[in-house]
Amino acid sequence: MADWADLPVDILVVIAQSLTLIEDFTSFTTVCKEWKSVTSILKKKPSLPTRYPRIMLAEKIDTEDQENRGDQDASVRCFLNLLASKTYRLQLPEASGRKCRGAHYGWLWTIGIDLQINLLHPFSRQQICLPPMLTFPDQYEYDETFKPQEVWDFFVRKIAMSSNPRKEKSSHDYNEDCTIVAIYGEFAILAFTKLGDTVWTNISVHSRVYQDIIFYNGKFYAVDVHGVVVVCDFDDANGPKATVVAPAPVETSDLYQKYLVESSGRLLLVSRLRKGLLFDDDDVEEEEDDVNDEEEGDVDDNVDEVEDAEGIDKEEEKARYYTTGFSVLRLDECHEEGNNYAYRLTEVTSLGDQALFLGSNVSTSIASSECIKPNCIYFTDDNCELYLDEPGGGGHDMGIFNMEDGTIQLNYAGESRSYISPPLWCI
Amino acid sequence: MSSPEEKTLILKSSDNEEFLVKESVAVQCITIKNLVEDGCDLDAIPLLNVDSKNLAWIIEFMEKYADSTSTDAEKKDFDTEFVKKPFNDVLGLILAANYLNFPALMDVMCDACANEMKLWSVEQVREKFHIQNDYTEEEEKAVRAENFWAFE
Repeated sequence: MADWADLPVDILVVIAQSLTLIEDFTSFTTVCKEWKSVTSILKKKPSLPTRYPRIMLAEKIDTEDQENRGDQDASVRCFLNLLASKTYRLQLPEASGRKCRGAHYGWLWTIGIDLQINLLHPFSRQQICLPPMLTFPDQYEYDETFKPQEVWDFFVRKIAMSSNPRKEKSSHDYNEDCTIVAIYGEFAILAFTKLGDTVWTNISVHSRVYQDIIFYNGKFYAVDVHGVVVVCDFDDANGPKATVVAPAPVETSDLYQKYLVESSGRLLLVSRLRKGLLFDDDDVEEEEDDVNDEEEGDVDDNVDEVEDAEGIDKEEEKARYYTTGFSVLRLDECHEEGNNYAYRLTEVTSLGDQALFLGSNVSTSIASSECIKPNCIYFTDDNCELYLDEPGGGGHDMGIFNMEDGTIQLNYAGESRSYISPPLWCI
Repeated sequence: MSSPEEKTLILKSSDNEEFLVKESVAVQCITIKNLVEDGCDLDAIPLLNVDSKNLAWIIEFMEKYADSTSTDAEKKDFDTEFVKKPFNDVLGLILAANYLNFPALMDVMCDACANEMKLWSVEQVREKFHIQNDYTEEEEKAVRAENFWAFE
């Protein structure tokens, strides 16, 4: 039998490059000294996801932690580890002062006043440049009083990607097969780019105000504010375009933010219900405002709507917006004759053993485990248009929604707010 | 001169078993490709570091990958079944792929190896690879502290 302890270094290098999680990579370095030295041969730390999502907190250090304030505030970012429920700090000057949003595969994307858009991996600190903001086709009407620098924190809303932007085993800096689709501009329309391109290109759409995009079964799907789902086709002779694949959901509202997520192999359309001073409560059907005191596990069985969000124990200044619940629909393929749509919508009451992670990131579904509860929706505050209206900024509207009993728990006991980059999922 | 796609090579394993393989298939192994291009005129190409068990598997893999009619999805399904082998065989194939310089096989087997390692603790990795931990307790602590955020 061969002696595995004497594997040639070049084999160990390929194995190290084949690892798929950051935790596996760091474990690799602790096996023995030779294996650690192998990782030093690799040019950079790998840009891999973590086993479980982490929350990257807003730029200011947690206000409770006064004694650790220092000159390095701006270059350090705090992350929350769900499993251990503890925070740790990483050097991340690349994110300082920039709008940061979650993406996928462990990556974030950032944009700053320089109008540059970058993919950023917080653990390897690698960056991949995307075409800058001014290369999007439909710009605002700028003049001498209104400049691009006024809108950099609104212009690009969300992005999705077709694969990991980085190929570990490749000598290139990025994966040339990776396509990115973005929701952008005054009317929240769609555009795409491939890594290595110098501009963004519009995807022709019939409607506006898209709210989420996802890469599913080899294609990009997007959903607009009405809940209409489209699929993007890049090979059409007339140029990239989006076509409707499902009817608009009947019982929803434009006030409910929409998400698209793949879970257990199927595409889900999730609506996020919010209440607050900025929402007209008369628009919400059914229940009157039923403010229950927070008792743990207090469930009102008659209410198939959800209880108000549990507030932090502070003076009761009601937030301008807060999430009260979610409703989930599933897209089922529809092959019936005479049907106009490729999918129909079916209500979903349980996510099974899956948990959804929604926010400014690419919406993701993850199987339950020791730190992830099944049948729950973990959400962060992505109501970016209203961050400026909230004292201290956005970031309060996050928690864990339980699909079974409709309750919401906090996922972070502290407070972390920002006008541009509140807490986000790093998935 | 005979056209390359018709030519067949004889590959001989370390335990003297002979296998017939089309040249166009075998040259996926860069080691073999170099031998052929250098005008190797031996009756059989001896592969001193590959036994017949591994060579049979390697040929199975080479033929699947040389087949222009198989789609990417079919290759992926094939890979999924192909790597379902005991871990020692996975490592054996990695060594053989390295010796033969066969990048496609190397990638698939190393991905499979990395996948298995996902489920193991550091101690289990050492056990499976027959590695002695040469860190002192302090040294190991220091290495873990470098990446404290990854250890839960």
